[in-house]
Amino acid sequence: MKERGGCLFILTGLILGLVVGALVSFVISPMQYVNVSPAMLKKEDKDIYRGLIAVAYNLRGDLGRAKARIGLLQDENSVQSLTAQAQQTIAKGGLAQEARGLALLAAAMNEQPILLETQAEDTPTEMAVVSTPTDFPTLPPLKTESSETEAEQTPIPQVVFPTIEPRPIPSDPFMLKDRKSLCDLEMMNQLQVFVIDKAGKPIPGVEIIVTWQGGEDHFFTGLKPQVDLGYADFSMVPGELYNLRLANGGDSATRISPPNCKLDSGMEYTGGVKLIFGLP
Amino acid sequence: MSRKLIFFLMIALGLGIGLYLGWGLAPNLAGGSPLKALREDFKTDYVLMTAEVYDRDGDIKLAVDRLNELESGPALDVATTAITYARSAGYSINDLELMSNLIQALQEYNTKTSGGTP
Repeated sequence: MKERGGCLFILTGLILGLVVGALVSFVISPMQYVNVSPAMLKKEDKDIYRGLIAVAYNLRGDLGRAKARIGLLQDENSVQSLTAQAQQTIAKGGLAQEARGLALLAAAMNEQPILLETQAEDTPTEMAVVSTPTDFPTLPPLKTESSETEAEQTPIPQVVFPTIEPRPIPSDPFMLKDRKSLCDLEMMNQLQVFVIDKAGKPIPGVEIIVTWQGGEDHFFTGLKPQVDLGYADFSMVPGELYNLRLANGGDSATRISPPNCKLDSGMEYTGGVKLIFGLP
Repeated sequence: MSRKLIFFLMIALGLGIGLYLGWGLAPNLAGGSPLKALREDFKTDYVLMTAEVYDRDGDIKLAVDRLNELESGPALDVATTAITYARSAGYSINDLELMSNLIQALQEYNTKTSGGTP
């Protein structure tokens, strides 16, 4: 009985201290970080930041600047982050220009790996506390090719943001160059779309519209750069008929449905369809 | 060791744990900071991006929404603070023009939404 009383008295002290400590640190004076870099943002805020970078890239085409900005987020794999967010944006029915920008930027960055480093990337990742001065260097104004004051400014040696010419999506209507039904277990119910230019090079960021009875979906090429920059796919439901066209016009592929296939063993399954759109 | 001393030591230990939980662990568990915690130069670049986008799509409502994500105050104030910083940091004339155009559009938008002035 005497020992239990002893334990209780220790526990009471500990709980009392814990309550006061928690009250101070959670309610009275909670920790607030200020002056953080984009790398220290919450996931959802990083997504907002990344989305804005992509929209700006989509509308202005300044890849050098977009890369430098993406670098500030310090994603483990920038291309993967962009691709994943593009897919999420499409799935959530978000802004089309954002989804397209994310897809285009992912494709562009996949073509040219990020080798750029900014000062901010090299800085310690410690977070700053209110009123505590931060010690990572200031982000210098980002440069573009068209920067008028570039020559007047004192060069900042630590940051080089080259501007790479973006590949605009051709405005000419695309033609359906090939349509194949494929019996392959790995392609079950898949609708694969490849978009190429006159030279046969893949074109990323092309919006594709697929419709079926009572439904419509939009997706973009370039979201799976590991397959092909001009590639996009869509999962079909057996028995459903689909129509597909590219958003900037041209040929349509109609009455698409997964073909019936059979294995040597006699097992039946539904295969995939491959469509190739190209410029005339 | 007296019971009283142990009691106070336990209070101190509990206090330490409580403070660690709130100041040390919780912010890390929260998974990062909000946009409004960005440093001024990064905020300015965010506003510049908004201006770059507005310059092409002309959607001032969307620009306002984007600026409201950055700060809870009026979008015009956010943009004005950013251009002030951008000037002092030596942003290019092109960038300053973009931000200036955005500010002008925000002023017009404010006038419209507040009922307009004669």
